[in-house]
Amino acid sequence: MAIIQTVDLLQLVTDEVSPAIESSWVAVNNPVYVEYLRRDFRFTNASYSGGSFLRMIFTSAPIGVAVGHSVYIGFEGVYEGAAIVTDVSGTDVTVDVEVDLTGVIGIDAYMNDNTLRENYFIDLNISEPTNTTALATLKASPNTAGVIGIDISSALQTFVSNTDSLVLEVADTSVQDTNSTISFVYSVKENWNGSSNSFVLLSETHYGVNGAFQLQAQYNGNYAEYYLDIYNENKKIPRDFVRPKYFVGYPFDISFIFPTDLDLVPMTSEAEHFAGDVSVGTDTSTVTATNKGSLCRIYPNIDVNISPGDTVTYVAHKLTSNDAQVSEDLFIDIVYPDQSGCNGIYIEWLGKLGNRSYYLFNDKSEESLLVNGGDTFEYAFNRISDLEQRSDFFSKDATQLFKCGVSAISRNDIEGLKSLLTSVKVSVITADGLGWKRTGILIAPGTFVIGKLADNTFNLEFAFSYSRQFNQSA
Amino acid sequence: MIKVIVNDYEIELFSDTVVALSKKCATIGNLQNRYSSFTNKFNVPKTRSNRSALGISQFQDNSGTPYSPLNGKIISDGIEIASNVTVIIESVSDSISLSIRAGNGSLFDRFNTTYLSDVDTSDLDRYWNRASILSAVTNDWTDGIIFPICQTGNQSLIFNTIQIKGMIPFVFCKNLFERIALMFGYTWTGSTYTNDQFEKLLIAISSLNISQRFADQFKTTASADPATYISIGGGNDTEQYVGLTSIYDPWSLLNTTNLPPNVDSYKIPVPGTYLLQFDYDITVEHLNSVGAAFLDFTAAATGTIAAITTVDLTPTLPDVPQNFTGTLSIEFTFDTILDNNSILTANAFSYLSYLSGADAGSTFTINSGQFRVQEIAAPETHFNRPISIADHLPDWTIGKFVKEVGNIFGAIYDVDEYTKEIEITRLDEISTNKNEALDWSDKLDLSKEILVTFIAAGIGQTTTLQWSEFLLYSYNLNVANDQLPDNTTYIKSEADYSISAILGLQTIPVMSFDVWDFDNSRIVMDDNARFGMLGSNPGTSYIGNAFVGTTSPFPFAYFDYSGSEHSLDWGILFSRYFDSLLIPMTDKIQRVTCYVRLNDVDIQKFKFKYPIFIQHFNRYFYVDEISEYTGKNQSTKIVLMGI
Repeated sequence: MAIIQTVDLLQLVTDEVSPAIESSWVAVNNPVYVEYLRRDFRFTNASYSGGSFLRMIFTSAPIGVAVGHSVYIGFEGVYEGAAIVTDVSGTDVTVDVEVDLTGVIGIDAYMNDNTLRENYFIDLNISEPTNTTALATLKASPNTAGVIGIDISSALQTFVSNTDSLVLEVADTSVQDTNSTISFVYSVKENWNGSSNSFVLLSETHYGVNGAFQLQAQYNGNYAEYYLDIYNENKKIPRDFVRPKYFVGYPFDISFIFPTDLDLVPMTSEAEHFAGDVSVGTDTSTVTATNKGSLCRIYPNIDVNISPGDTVTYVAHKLTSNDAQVSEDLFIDIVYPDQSGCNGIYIEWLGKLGNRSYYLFNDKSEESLLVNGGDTFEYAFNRISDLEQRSDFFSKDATQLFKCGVSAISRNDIEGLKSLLTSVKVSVITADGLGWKRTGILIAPGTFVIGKLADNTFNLEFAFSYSRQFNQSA
Repeated sequence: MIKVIVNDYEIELFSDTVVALSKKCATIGNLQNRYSSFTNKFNVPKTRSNRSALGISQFQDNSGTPYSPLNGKIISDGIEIASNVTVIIESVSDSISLSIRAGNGSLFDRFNTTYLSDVDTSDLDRYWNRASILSAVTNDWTDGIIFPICQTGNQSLIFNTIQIKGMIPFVFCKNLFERIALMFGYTWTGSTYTNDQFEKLLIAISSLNISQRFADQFKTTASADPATYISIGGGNDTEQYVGLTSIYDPWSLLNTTNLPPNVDSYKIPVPGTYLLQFDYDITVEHLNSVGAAFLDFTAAATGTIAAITTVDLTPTLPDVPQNFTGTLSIEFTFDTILDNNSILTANAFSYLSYLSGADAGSTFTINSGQFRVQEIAAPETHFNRPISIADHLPDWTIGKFVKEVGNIFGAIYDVDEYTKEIEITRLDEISTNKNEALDWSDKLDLSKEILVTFIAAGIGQTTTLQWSEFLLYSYNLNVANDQLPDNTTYIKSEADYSISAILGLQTIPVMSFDVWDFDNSRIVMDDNARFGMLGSNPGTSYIGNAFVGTTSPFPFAYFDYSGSEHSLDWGILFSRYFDSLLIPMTDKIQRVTCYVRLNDVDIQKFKFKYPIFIQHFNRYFYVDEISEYTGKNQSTKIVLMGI
């Protein structure tokens, strides 16, 4: 049996990777394990010899097996281990292992003859489905039980373009790059002591695409060392982190939300507090808004047009306590109307066929803030640009979301953009003056909304967070 | 990250431990040595898992305890980059210190600790005599041994009769290679292995020493058949053999448990000191009066009784059967054994027992007995005696022998631990393999330092390839480069060259080396190693009394002569196997140390026989070393030699 399994990042970090995930889609920058079980001779029937010694009954005589040979028996639930052949008679082979077959039904077991097939190993060929010429051949040897595990991702990576050479033109609103995938099959040839079998095709067509490359290990960027592998079932990811440490700073420029060339203007806010249903007074404070922002949205749904120097009065949640120590949560969105001057951002994603697509969003952008009790609006607001606070901010469970949207686009564009949802790799492309920079992001589940308009065009809105990128502590 | 798997366990590493694999095969700037792949020495925690994997008990006293090497494999990012590696436990204290030998290292470590004398050549052992020589006339490398004509010091330069006592056995080197591979569970590959010169390359015996292992073959035991001799009386009893004799031909009767009747002696196979013993249980009864009874061992050297040992079995009283038990021993040293095969009995131990002065009806009864050749101390053999090929070969390790032969062909060895194949690749083949070179141009890490030097260890302004002595058949490669040292040695063999001699009525010269002892009229080898090439002499020769030559050209051994097919002159060898690589290499020496971005697939697939090309230098290179590969995310240092 051979399986291909790929790893989901979220499962990876929560240690929930068992059972293995089988998929036709593999991310070549993630471990792509092929597991092969050596089975020289399989038997589906067994009996006792001499009272309790295991006698395996094969459907045809196991050619070459002889008395004295050292074998491995893979008989799950009965015996899994080494043995010596004590008798060979036609299709029957007896070994020096005492077993109890009481209640054993549905036998599907195997015997590997390590004397007959000394120095056993496999060649694993990776080839294109329509071309039997091997793109790569990997060798591997089994463990005692005959299990062979190979991570073929290193080989696949050599065939999938990893270079971010796509040249963007600002005038482009969308573009596709189709050279970032490989479709492949793999086959296995068994070898031992100068003999070999033929290559046997063991897989259907699989598709390898560039995978997110997010965990950074101390010495190695591959997930393999964190992966629950065949050699050590107890190996867990967190063990290799001495001290998790989060990225300091945003992984990309957020100027598309807050253009750096904007002048900031003061805005005064006022909050009225209640104890029970009784007003206990108001607080007034001054916050900073942009001069291009003309709308302040105060939850639940109060939109106020603001101008520099305006005072905004907003109502907090009522509290039922008469305690004068009022605590409250305030949700305030600064809403920038369409075409309010925010920079556009390119979102790039890898399609199912390995093609790379991107779309320029510039219609709408929002920043959503959670203001905890006791926090002032400006405090939460300013934290975004406060480098010292970022690591703290990101370490919270609350999800940091950036919203994107586009309105009145065609059905074709909507169909193309839908593939964002299932993409294994989505990036924000920003320019830093020296060139384009890609930063991996994650589309937030449940935020992808498409609305059909009367003119048969569509609105699209979704939110994303940038990947939780860990930086291995030294 | 590199993992080490031993006994199905992944060895647990300290968090700051890095296992680094280096791959090395040979430095083509200097073929004096061959190298192996290895890892750094690294410490691992003494965890339960590691102890189980490495077979270390928790409370074991580890002070000074040698540990057996373990078999394992190295995995990097899920790809097995080295299989069947040797994991060496260097020491055990609070942690366990390990190192790993991989590829060539695993095998050549064993080659270097095993001697040619350990190779099983017992099927080549035989009598060194005329029959063996003639039966080997048409032998080739598959037969292993041959007795080609060569001048050992007693052959005539005038007559075409070859003195048979002057013909010594040679062994086909390829046959030894086959045996070595079989011994270690490997096979050889590469075009050199079917190269005609390789198949005709011979190595002469260098000594006539025999090992205790070989001498012990001639030890034997045999049971005495119970028997009774009844005296005929009248003083007519003389020496009587009673039911028990000894072994006639010890080599052909080694497995005999019961002695055959009607043979009378243990013939000495090789010169030496022998201890024979007989455990006897004998009953003697003299009727009427007490006569004498004896049991004798005698040793006859060159036909003359040289020693005798006797036990008196005379009964105390007449008419009373008396039982005697005990062990009769005799030890004698046979310094000289006659060469003539027809008089083997001239050197032998004999046994006899007899009654003396007994009346008729007196009896001498062997109840039981065991005859033993108990000890043999025989340091060497000679013509017309059994030879032990493995013992007679040069006292070299297998590693030394393989390297010496490889040097003749300018060959490097690369072991594939999956297929268990040892690939022999010549320098000229590496040069030809430029057509299949790996292009590592885009792997070069330009962010790391690149060190380029224009000298190479082993290459001087005059670089020498020579046999053990420089006088003849040497070759000097001259390089006009003032930066190089004046003189260096590229290859210096420990084998002797041989001059040539034209024997009587022959037209082709044969190899000549004087090992003939005129005083004792026999070959006395000098322990020197000598290679030779097998040739076929079209002339007519007489081998002793046997005429050979007209229907079966007799084999001869040569070293070099004008027009020789496979000369062993280093000048010829250089032009054949070395110059296509070494000339361009030395013409513009460029030794580069740089970093490249290799991945696990590169490491697993890499073979030293394929040059690499790097556009940055616009040159092909032989990879001298891949240094400390730790995984694909780190650039790996490599050392290159421009070719």
